[in-house]
Amino acid sequence: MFHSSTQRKYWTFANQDELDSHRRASHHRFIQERLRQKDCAAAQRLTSDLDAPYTDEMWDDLDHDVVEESFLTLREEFEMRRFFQTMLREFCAKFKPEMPKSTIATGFAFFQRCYLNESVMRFHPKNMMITCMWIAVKVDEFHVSMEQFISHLRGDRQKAMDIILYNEPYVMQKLHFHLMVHLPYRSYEGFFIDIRARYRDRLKQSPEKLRPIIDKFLDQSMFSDALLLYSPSQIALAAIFHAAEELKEDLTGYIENVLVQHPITKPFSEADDSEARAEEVMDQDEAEHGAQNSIHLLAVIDEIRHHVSESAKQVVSKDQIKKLEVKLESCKDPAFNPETEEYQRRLVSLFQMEVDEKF
Amino acid sequence: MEWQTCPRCKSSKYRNPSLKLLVNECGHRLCDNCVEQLFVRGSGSCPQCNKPLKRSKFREQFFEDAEMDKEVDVRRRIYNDLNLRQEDFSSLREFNDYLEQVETFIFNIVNGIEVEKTKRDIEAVKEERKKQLQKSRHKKSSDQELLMKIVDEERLNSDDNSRKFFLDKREDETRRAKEREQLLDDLQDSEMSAEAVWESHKRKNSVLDQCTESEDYQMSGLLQRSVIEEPPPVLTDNDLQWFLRDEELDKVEGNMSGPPVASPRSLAEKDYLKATRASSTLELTMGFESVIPARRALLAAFDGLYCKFNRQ
Repeated sequence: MFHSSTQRKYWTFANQDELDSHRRASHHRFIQERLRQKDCAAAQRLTSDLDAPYTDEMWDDLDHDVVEESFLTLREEFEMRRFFQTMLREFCAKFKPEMPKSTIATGFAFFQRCYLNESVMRFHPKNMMITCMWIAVKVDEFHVSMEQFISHLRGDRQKAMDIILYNEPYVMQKLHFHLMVHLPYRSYEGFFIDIRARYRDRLKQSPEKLRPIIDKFLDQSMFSDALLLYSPSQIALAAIFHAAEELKEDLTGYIENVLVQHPITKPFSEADDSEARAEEVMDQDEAEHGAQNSIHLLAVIDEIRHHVSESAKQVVSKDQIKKLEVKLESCKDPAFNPETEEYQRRLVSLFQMEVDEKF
Repeated sequence: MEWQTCPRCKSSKYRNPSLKLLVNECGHRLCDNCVEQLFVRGSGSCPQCNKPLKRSKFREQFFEDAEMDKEVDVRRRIYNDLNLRQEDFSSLREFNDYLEQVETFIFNIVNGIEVEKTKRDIEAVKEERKKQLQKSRHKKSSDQELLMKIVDEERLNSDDNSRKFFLDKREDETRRAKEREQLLDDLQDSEMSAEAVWESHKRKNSVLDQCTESEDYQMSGLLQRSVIEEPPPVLTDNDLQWFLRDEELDKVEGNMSGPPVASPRSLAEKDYLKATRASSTLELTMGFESVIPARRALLAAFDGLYCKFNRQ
């Protein structure tokens, strides 16, 4: 049940501003940390003119153009995420038997949640995406072995396996171990059952024709922040509404009269022509309440459709990413870079811990 | 040891524990490996008596004396063909004659006396009693019926007994627990000395224990050999429907900020189930009625539909 879930309590936010402020905070936190520790090229360049070791109070004195040049900006972080989301989508499409949509969407949800409290510079999206997906196949019970999983990757597979296993606990911790994701897919089936039972005779064509468009919409919604802002049922309804509009069907009636069980404009006259709603003669208060609910719901649907279509327009090219990768070279967190000694040291200590636990 | 050895390849059960000895119509044994080799084409002759044999007729040797296997085999086959019962004859005398005739046939075939003639005789009897044979083919013999009846009765009895046993046991336990409490209360409240209270309780208990013990004795007499199993739980309608009860659902779904979803019962009554896939028989036997996933999907659809998340 969504209403009692951790998703509602911890991972659904009031609005885009709140999301942005979380991202800004983690971005800021990461840069501060690098400057304090001076463990990457960018930080060393920035702090080389300073007389004393860097403290957080000196932040305002820094030249912010230089900071933006040395570290990835928030916009650049978004571009990185978006590019690797498309990579992740392609990766998922390679699986045979086909990976269920719910598994893919779970992986995407993990990806989005992780980068709320974590900078792209600390944790490369390439590693993040496969780690998230590896957790998702287990959470959603799509059984694949590690060998099968990495066989769809290009490059050094052994290294990929090490990266996944090394980062898995860290990513889980970033998710606060909230591994249950409520997705729009089941809600969408529920609406279909409801429409077929209560609204089928009002539609000009079979609801089955809506499915391809709905699937495409939900696919796009995975890339956006929709799941962090709206409840899965709202997203599903928006998808169905969007598909219906494309096929020149009107579902406003379904929401106003059937779903919320009260028409907004004509409170009682409509009820007469339908037996299904004859029993729904509500008193004035309830009518008012129902009207508010359907107005709110229609507004939310519009918001979601706008949000998803805006997000779908954002495309990132490979050239942009190549530039960003070069920039990233100098501002990575060494603790998460497999080429550094720091990483090796942590790996060994992690292994040692495991051995100690066993004996 | 001799009877566990294959006469052809001389391998024995002792040397090869997985060896399987097979016997065919002629009553000579062969191990499964030799059968594999000799009867590649499905038929061949017995290496000892040269009798032509079919591979499909080989069966595992069950008795030490292979001849016995042969006889059992022949008997089964002939009984299969000639299965008349006493009701089919007008007098006991005739029935006995018939049984004796059958025994003679079996003896002749097993011991190889006038085999061809015996076979012809069997055919003749079969022809003669064709109608009766066909009728009785599907009926169980009275012996078999009796056996079935006894087995059924036994099963019923043992179920009853074990249920009674468990009920008694539980009763006994509660009684003991009560007495223990009573004793503690008495020790606390009574004006008698502690020893006196203890003694009187002990006396009372020993009388009761004897009673139950004698019952136990009776029980085990009845159930001499049958294993005492826990009786199958009796499911009431209430148990089966607990998840469909409205007030239970209300507790969970009361605050889901969306339109309410009707209870499973009323969903089934309305037209909802037409819009979903019907459950297969297999799913139904496991209790997966289609209303359950349908309702789950509907819940997912309506759950959180009116959520506002403090938007500006």
